[in-house]
Amino acid sequence: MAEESAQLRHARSRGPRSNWVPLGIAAAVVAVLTGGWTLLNAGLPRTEDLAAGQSITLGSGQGYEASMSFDDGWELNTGSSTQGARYVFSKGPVNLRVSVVTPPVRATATELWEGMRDIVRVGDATAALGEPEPITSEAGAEGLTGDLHLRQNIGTAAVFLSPGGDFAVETQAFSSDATPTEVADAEKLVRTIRFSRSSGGTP
Amino acid sequence: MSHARPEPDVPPTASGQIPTPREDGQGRQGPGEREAPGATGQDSEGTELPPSAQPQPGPEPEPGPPRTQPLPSLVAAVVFGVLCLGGLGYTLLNFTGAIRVFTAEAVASVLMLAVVGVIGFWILRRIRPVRPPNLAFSLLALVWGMTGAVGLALYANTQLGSAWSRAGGLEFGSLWGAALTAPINEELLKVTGVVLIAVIAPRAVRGPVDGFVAGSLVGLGFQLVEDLTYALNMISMQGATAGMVSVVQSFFARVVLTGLGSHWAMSAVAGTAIGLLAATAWRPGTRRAVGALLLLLLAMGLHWLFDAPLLQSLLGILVKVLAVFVSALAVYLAVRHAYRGRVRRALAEEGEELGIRRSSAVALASRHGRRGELSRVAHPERPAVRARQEQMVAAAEERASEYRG
Repeated sequence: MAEESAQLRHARSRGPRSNWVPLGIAAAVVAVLTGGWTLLNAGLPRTEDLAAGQSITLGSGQGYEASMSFDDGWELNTGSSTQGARYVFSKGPVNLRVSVVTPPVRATATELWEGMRDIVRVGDATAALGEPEPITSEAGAEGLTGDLHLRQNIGTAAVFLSPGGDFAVETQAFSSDATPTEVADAEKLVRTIRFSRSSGGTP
Repeated sequence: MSHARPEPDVPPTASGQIPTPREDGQGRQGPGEREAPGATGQDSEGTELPPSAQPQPGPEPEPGPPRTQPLPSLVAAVVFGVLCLGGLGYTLLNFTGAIRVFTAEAVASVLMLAVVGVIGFWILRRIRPVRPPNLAFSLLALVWGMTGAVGLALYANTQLGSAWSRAGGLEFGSLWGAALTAPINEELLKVTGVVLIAVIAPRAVRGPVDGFVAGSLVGLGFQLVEDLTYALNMISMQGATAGMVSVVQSFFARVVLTGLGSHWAMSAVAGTAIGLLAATAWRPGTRRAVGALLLLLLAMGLHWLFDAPLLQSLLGILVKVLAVFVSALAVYLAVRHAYRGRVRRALAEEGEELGIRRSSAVALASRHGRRGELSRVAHPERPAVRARQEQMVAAAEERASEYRG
């Protein structure tokens, strides 16, 4: 028995490898996965130009899909966007965040506006929404709009509930140093939101 | 009367010396750890080994399990601490706002996940054959998953996920980004914690079984924090109109529906690979190195399957969960079988040396067997017998880790 077990034991002619080796590999892995991907991401184009007249499907629910149509000069920040859920558009100094939200239980536009009051505060504790007013898009979608206060800046926010009531589009336009014309461009873009009948679900 | 009683009938070693109790081998040893048993023809206490137990020349020898090297161990501990703090800081930076705004929902989520965490921690420590792993290093594995791994993965995923969308377009990035990002970043970052623990305390990760358990605990910690972040994100994604409903829905999806085949299982498979390498002091033979690589790739492949935009129906999701769970179970059963076999052999040897009946010695390999042996002893003797059992099992595990796997 003892002889048999002795044969099973390790002979150590080469000896153990220094623990610096696995430690070095672990450090290298962390460096590559953090620093390496950062460099790779930074080396890729940040935005994608959107052609004038181009329409983007933002999201869809039961029976309806939401879309937006762009005029000249808008760009899509591809790295910060997720199809069907969240988009970041920019034109000059103006940023427009668009979120497609799916309430877990049926909600009214007013309830969604109150929810958005909380959502904007997640990213910035000073952010606040003003009192909402009704808004109707060019295609007839009805929603609410109001001021968005971010530190020294004022932007606009809006929410449009889909006719099916199972999802909504929320927008927040803001800029640190935009001209009134540029802010007006963002508001104009928001008014292009359209709900069309569709046969599919969320993409 | 039990044959696992404290006093042996015959001199316990070939040299006639009574062995001093071996230290618990579960990673309690710090810097300045002893030289590998057998390396100098002595056992770990410096006792002269019988010729039959001394190293035998043979083909392609593999080094034994690693021993603590003070400086790498110290540096690894510092790296571990810094990365945990960094990961925690980055996670808080990203989620402090959500926790501040949705405080009640965050507390509810933490409470629900805490229950899962306690149960999971108990189960995953309990599944280690023979004895549970050292508590301190189990907690370190959990903490790595909850802080270092999850924070670093959060950052790395943002970068690589963004890169996929920038390089392949929004549609490609949205559809395949998660499947092409998480398996690489998350599996490697989780298993990095097992490597660091193995360097800090080599005796905490002496082989595949320890790697499996450490990996599963890292995965559990990762899963808990990720589940919390998903719950907070879901509140915003659902318009923040019914936060508690969002939290419950998230909990159902992430724990009830998919929890069985999630991070703990994938990391357990990847951790087994690290255990395979650590068992040979990071100098594996070709077969073992290939085995470790395949296990790591299996873990990444399972993660890919889990995140891929395939089989997205409820049935499909259940199939994915089952595939991950069954794979982890198969790996577990294989390493458990091999490890228990080695421990039994070691116990049989010890029994022979101590004059204990083979069946009684081998029975000590399981908790049930130890209880059974204890039950045959009179109550007053039990504490001493229990202590003796612990010593024998610790020594057997030490021996078992020196066997070729």
